[in-house]
Amino acid sequence: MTNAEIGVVLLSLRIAALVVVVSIVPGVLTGWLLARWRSPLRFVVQGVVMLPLVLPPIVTGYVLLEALGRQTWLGRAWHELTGTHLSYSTTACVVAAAVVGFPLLVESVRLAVLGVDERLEVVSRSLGRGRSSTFLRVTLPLALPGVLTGAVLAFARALGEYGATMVLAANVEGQTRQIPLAVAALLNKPGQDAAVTRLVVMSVALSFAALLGAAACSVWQRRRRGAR
Amino acid sequence: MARHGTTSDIARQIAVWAALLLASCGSGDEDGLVVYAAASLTDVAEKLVGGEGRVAVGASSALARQILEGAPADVFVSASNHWVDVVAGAGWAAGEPRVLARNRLVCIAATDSALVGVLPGDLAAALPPDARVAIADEGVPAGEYVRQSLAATGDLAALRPRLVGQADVRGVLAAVAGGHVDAGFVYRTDALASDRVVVLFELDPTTHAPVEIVGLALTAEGVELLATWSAVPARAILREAGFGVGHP
Amino acid sequence: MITADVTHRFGGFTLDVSFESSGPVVGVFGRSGSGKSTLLSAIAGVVRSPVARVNVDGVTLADRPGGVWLPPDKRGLALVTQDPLLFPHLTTRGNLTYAPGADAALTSDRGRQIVDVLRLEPLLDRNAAVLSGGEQQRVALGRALLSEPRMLLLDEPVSALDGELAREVLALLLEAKTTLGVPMLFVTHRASELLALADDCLVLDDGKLVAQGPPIDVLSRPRDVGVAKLVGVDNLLRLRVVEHDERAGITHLDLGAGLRLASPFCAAPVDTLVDIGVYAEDVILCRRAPDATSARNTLAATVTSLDAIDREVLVGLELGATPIRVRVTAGAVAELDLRLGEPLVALIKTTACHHLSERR
Repeated sequence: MTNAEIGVVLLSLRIAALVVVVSIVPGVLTGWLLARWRSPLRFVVQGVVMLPLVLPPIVTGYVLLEALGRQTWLGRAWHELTGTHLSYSTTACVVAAAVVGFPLLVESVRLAVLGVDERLEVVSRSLGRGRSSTFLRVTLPLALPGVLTGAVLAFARALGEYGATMVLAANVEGQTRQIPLAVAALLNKPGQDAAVTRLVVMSVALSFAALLGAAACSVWQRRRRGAR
Repeated sequence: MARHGTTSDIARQIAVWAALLLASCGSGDEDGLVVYAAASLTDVAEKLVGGEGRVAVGASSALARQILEGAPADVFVSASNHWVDVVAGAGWAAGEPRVLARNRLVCIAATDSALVGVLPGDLAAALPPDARVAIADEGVPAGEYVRQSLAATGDLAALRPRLVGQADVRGVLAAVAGGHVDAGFVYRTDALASDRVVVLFELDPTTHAPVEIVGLALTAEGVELLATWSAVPARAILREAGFGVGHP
Repeated sequence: MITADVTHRFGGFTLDVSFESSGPVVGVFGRSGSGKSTLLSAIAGVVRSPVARVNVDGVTLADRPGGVWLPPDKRGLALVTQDPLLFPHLTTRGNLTYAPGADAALTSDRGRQIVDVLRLEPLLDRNAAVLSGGEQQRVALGRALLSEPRMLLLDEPVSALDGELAREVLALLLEAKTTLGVPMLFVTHRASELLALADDCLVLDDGKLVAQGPPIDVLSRPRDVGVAKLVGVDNLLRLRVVEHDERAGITHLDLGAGLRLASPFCAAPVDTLVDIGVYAEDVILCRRAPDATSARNTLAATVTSLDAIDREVLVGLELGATPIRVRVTAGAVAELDLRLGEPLVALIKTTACHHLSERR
């Protein structure tokens, strides 16, 4: 692999890791809320959260660009804070991949929390542990395999993200050129088949490793359920 | 046996619907010609083809790859000789390549841009510190021509950190028109198609390979269609869109 | 000392219960669907009822709509349910020390006592998920006790368990009550648990409190037919008043076929119908009528059915025209050589005939 290709792979991994870091806390809270909240309003929230899963990624990217572009107040606020523009930056890659991967994380957490016996939480409360203490001591540890599955899926999704990223982050060498964008660009050039093959093999290997991780997490979860 | 009768009725209905669906797919193929056109021809390709067929647009490079994979196109209209040569070299051509029109490359900005009036060599210096310039990706003809030109004039090194790669020229146009970037490089015809952008300057045509719109027939029907595009009405359509059309 | 006043509606069901009890162990009795578990949840603060006033030992835990509503974790009412509900990701020790302060409680004298009574020592370092059902229930009880609650709330802690296990847990609860002196409020649908554990008993039916009192009173002298049916009096008889003998304290009732039942004196007019409850175990069977007996009723009977239940036999009799059931041991059946269609003599004390219809 050439240095440029290694750079592309490392950037992809860095962005995918950042996606997990920024979305894990909101993802867990949202998944927990959707599992335990009784209000019918939760269906609206669930719909909004799930939307990127069914929207064409290019549409998601367009909506994000219209919301976070440098013409918008959000984009300007970001510029005030950081002195840089959000669009076409590594941050933009993280945002695009995080939004597209968020439903996978949330749904995984939601299902894991639904699998935690609510009566355990009631008993915890009656023993003097408050709502957040109960969440941290009972719900979260028991839902942990599902949380990890969700994180791994979001990571894998970030590695493969192209559509929304192409619109919000485009193809900037060293900043936003991840594996899918590099492959797409190489496909446009004649005689780059070897480079394409190398990147495709890397992409398949990384994604497969991530999915194996997710499978391991779900085995762990099942074993834990069975032991109860 | 009423029950048996009902079941076979349903089966027959399903069969009829399936046949209708399949027939509708098939008739679509036979209805007319399929023209693969470079993104820069998005607006004129429909007019040129008229009611005789359907148009698929994309980056010339992407279209060429699809044709090499066996996509059912009758005519390939490319923004570069290179991809026509690739397709013809692979044995897909049904006739000689034909230059239909010429195009120019321009640098554009939003209509209210402070860059209006900038000279070609001053662009990099005139850009605000965190400015971005959209360009078609490498491999896409527009991207290749522009990089070739910027390299020749010595501006590429200064602009490189500003460049934001887009999948095709229409992506560049959208980014500039939407105000998401400060400037961008597109074909003159693209700039004319949008009233939200202005041309800052034209790239010197001597600094890059000639931008030729090249048509290549891939089937016998394609040959006939392509021949009509050298006639006066087709040339008028191209000229109106801003293409350079030489004398026949 | 607990006082509670709870109104809770869901679906078409309304729970409307108000009581005061000095316990220290209060049994809440009722069929499934009577609202007893909902009452427990409302007291625990797990459900928010529109009206909920709960006071334990002078501390107000809830006063709605008065504006006081402590969340479950601030009430000090530890829940023990029929499922032990141990935290499966923690060890036994982790479960026992789960409550805030339980770490210190475990090493205190009282904590030692709890560990001794519940025989928790050998379980301490085992994974909670691999314990047997009885062990789990012991840990659940220890976990609740170590949270040092004002009162223990138990939701069918015994009823769902198998015979052997049920006896074990019941014995533990008894020991916890006598040795540790923890106030409890427990829900059950079994009279035997009430008799064994409760100092005070609440009977719930269809969301209403229908009886309250010491369990022996509530069970053996049910106030009306509704309560009698709930607590499971085995023979409910609706009989016609024949005559009163006020001096002897007896009211004679018609059993049909010329037989009479001497029941405690009641004010019901002659020829009206009264409801009588007789426990199946309160009837004595004899081959021949004894010479003299304190039982006022010596009645000719015919055996109509014999049903073995475990080591007991439920004997169906016809007293005159009235069928009753009598519970005897299998040994008694053998010794008396009971057979279908055979004539017998049934002895029933007048005081074993409980008037149920004096509802007034």
